[in-house]
Amino acid sequence: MIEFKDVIKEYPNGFRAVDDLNLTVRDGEICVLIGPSGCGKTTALRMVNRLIDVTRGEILIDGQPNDEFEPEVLRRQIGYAIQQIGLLPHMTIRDNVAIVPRLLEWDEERIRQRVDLLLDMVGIDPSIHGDKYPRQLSGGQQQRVGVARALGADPPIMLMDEPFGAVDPITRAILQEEFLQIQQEVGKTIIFVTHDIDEAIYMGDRIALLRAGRLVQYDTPDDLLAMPRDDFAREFVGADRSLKRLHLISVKDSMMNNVPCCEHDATLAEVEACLERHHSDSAFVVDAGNGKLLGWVEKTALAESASLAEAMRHAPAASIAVPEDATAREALSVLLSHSFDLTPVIDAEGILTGGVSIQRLQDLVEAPGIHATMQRERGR
Amino acid sequence: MKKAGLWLLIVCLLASAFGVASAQDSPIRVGSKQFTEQIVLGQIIVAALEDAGLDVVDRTNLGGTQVNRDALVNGEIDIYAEYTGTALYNYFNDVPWYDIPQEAYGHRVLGYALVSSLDAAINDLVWLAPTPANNTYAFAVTAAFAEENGLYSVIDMADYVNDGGFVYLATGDEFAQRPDGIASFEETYGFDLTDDQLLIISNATPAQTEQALNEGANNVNFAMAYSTDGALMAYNFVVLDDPFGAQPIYAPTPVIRGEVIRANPEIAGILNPIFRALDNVALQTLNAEVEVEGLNPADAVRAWLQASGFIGN
Amino acid sequence: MIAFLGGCFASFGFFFLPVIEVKPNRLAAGLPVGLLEIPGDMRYLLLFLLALTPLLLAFLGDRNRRGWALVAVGNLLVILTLYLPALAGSAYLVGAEALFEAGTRISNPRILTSAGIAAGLAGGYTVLFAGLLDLEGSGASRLVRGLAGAVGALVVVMMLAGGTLDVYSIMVEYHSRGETLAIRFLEHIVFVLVALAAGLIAGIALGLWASRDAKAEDAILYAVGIIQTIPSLALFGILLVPLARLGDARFLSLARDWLLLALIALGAGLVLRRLHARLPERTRQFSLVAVFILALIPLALLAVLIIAFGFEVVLTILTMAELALLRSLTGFAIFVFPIFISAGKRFDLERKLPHYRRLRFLPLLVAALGGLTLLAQGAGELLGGRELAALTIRDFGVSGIGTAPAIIALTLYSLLPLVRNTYAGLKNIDPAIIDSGKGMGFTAAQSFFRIELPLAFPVIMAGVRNAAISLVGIAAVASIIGAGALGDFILLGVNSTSIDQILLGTVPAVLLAVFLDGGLKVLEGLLTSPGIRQA
Repeated sequence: MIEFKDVIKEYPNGFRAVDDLNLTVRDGEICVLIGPSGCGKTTALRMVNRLIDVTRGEILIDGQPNDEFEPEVLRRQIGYAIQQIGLLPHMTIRDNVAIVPRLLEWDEERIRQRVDLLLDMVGIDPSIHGDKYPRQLSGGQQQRVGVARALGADPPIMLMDEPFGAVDPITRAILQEEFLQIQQEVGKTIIFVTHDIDEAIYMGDRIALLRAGRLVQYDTPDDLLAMPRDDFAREFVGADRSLKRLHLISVKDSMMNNVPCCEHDATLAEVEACLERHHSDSAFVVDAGNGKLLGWVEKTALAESASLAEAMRHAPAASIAVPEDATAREALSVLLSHSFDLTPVIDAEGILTGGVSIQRLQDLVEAPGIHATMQRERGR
Repeated sequence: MKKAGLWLLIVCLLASAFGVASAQDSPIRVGSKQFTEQIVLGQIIVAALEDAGLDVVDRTNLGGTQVNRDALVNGEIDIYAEYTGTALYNYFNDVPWYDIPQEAYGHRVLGYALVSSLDAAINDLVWLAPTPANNTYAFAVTAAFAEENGLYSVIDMADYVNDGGFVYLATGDEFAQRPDGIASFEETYGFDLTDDQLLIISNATPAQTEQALNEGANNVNFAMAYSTDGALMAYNFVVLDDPFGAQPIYAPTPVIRGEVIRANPEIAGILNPIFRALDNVALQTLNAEVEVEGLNPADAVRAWLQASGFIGN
Repeated sequence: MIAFLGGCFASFGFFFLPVIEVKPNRLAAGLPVGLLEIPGDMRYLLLFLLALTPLLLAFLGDRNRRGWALVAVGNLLVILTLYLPALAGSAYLVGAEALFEAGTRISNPRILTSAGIAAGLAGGYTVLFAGLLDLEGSGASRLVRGLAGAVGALVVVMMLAGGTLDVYSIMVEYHSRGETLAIRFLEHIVFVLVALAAGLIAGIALGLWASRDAKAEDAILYAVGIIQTIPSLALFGILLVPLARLGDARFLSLARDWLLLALIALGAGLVLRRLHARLPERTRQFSLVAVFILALIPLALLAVLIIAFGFEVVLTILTMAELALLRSLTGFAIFVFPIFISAGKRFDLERKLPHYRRLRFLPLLVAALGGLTLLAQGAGELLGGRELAALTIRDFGVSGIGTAPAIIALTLYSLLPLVRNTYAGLKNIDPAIIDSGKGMGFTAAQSFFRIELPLAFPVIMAGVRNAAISLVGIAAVASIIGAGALGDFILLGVNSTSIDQILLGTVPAVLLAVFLDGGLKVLEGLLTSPGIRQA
């Protein structure tokens, strides 16, 4: 746990980079510091491992003030990754990852194992790239090594200052996703600085929005989007915050379970009754045996057909349905591209479990505080 | 334990080293300036003292006048051969209680008496017996040119100049500008050289002006020279005599620190006869052997000392 | 193209310039003789034609064949350019009297190598170089190329050793007064290396300071620039008197004073450190400078003493006959150590042989012990048997003339490239790298030695090479302060316009510069991480 208590950083010229910051980062959480440039987010991060000294106030790490440690000792217990990566160009990839373990004087055999493990974890094959030098790797690979190095001595806390800042958007998205997977395994307590609200929303368990050294709002991404505290926050999270919120809602949590649906061997009369019951013009058709989605049938087609088999339209489930674990944002794009009123939702086996409508999504993003009832896609 | 052993070993090694070396007496350090005649004079001192069984350190070939003088005054060397004229001109200018009279410069005995007594009083330096040689500035011409125009002394040169003969004199800037340089010749012998009759080579030594004359570059037909220079023989030059003493006397003389001569008074007895025997011809010959024939100075000097009976074989 | 140029150069030289000058004695100007003026046989014409062949070979298509042809022609040119004129020269000397007008003093006549030979050698090596480039392009191994390039030089060395070239004036000069050449050369090398080492330590310290402290930056860079402009003669003059006084001092009393001074400086430093936070800004800076200067005096004294004495000791070690065995043993151990290390890495012996990890440091241990013994023996030779109370600082080699002022001056002159390059090398490191190092928990010292120094290393080495080359030149002036070295020949030669004597000092100096530069380049290549090596 990391706690900022009344932390002030004031420079000799009177400028306050960080002004009375109070913040608690819980164990195993990613806390994203975000704000416009010059808001003090990097300063706050660098005060944790004492790269910058606190002027007043204190920073507690697991309840212990961080100035009770020698700076070097403290830093070796905290992972550190920065935007420019900062790999040491004169050392091999292995040696770079081994830096902190070597500083901590681990024995070489243990270091060798640890390095190979970490490189594997971040998707760098140590037998191919281990003895290369940083300049022989691509930008994305270097960022991965940077993350592996920050994890080097298995520190409980990690400080990450725009660690994916120096690569193209596609690589960045991949790295973000991979990192979240790693984080699921390792469960570090992380302070993560970024200026990109999308990254903050995607990566953060909580987001601390800073402005001119002051904390504006500290909330979960969902609450930040739903209830920006003031105009600055509203402006910062952006006009498309509703859309962004859809990223945070999973289909499973937003779907209606009760949707017009009939089994493939139903009679036309049964289908008509179903449509009647739901006040709907169309219904989904599922396999009578296993419940898998087969296609749909429209009211207009019923009159001209002799049987459901003749009236229904077959379609592969993947092309019309959204999976349960997709985000609401993805459901929206399926809705829009097929001009359905209601898009079917299927589980991993292809069994129809419900449906999502545009009206339903609209209701959701306008309701405040849904985080209480809806878990993020990446639940824990 | 291991470390202690290593240290013990180191201490033993250090201790062993200091046991082996032998005791030394303070040797006599001989200096010289950095040109042929000075090397020759320095080697003479070295050879003579060594022959007498003294411990000698050869510090000859030591840079210019200033370095040698400073080294001697500060006890960095014990002896070197200095020129009486050089001392008169340079070393006693800031002595507030004595002005060197003008006539001393051109007077062999008076000049020597003055520098030796002043140096003894002020710096505790002892001037031993001077050589009869005089290594002073002079004019040199090629033998062919001398024969053609009947030039053998500066008197002849004055006539040649005053008759409107062509003159292009290679000279260093100091010799051209100092009142005791060309001006002194002009005053004594009654002629006048204009600026366009002078090829002034900045900082030139006689070696360079003599070379200019030898190569005949820019139609040079006269050159500044040292009267004892060995190169004069190599180039087949004639040095014009200075019968009226326009130039001060530069007699090479060994100068030794008082402390050292008191501790080793026999040095005077060794060096005085040798330096008394070094006249212009002897010096010029030695210089030529080294500079022209390319003999090793130490070898040339040793051969001369042996031939003259100053040292044994 | 390069071969074409080389051929042009050599043939032009042979055609238009005199190759030798027949001199009646050491000093007088000689009789210039062109290659094609030499009477007798066809060999001289053939040499001229050989110089023309690269002009044709340059148009040969096959790279490998052209390379070998050019290498052969280049080597042959180098050898024959020196050999044939020597042959002709001997013939001229036999009848020297007839060559000069009557009255010319003929004694020890000799053959001066003239511009034509210089052109022939330069052209020959240019052709050789072009050939080696071709061979590199056609994939010949480094060893083969090295051997092919060295053939000419080896033959020349053999001719020198065998006396074939003794007719040349520089060899005549060597035989008449070269007996001290080896020791002067050694002095020259040791001067350069000692000054370089001292300059490197001071230069890195100053460069580090300048790169860290914006306030000191300008002052330091300006100061080392100023030093460079002080004429050496003036610097020697400034140093002579204080060093002479220092030399007079008794060792024991100086040691006592030194300890006192050091203690005062240390005490002042400690007091300042205590009070540091409480002092007002102005006073703090002022006292910082004061303490620094106070500390500088004993440090500088110690440095002068160590360097001067170190030089004397090293020279003694290198010249004492009794130490020959120990010397070669230590040298061998130093030579073997990197081989052990790299062999261990290459063949993974550290894993295969159980004790290799420790064994590989054996040569280092031998070298350390040997070196220590040598130092002790050298120091003992210089100081042994003296009464401690009678020992003066002069006995340690510190005096107004000789080694001490020379090395101090050389060290000062080496500072500019060393400080400037250290500064530039450190300043140019990406701050993100240093920040990430600090963030990972490197201490300041670890950061400097493990990150900054290795990264700045290539730039610093460029400065070292620059300094080494210029020191080889500057070391010649050490002669005027009685420190010996090759300047003894060069300056005396200049003062008596004896080209032979000048060359006798200059040729070794040039060779030293070339080999030093090459050696440092190899060292730089070995010690630079492949991660930052220039492609």
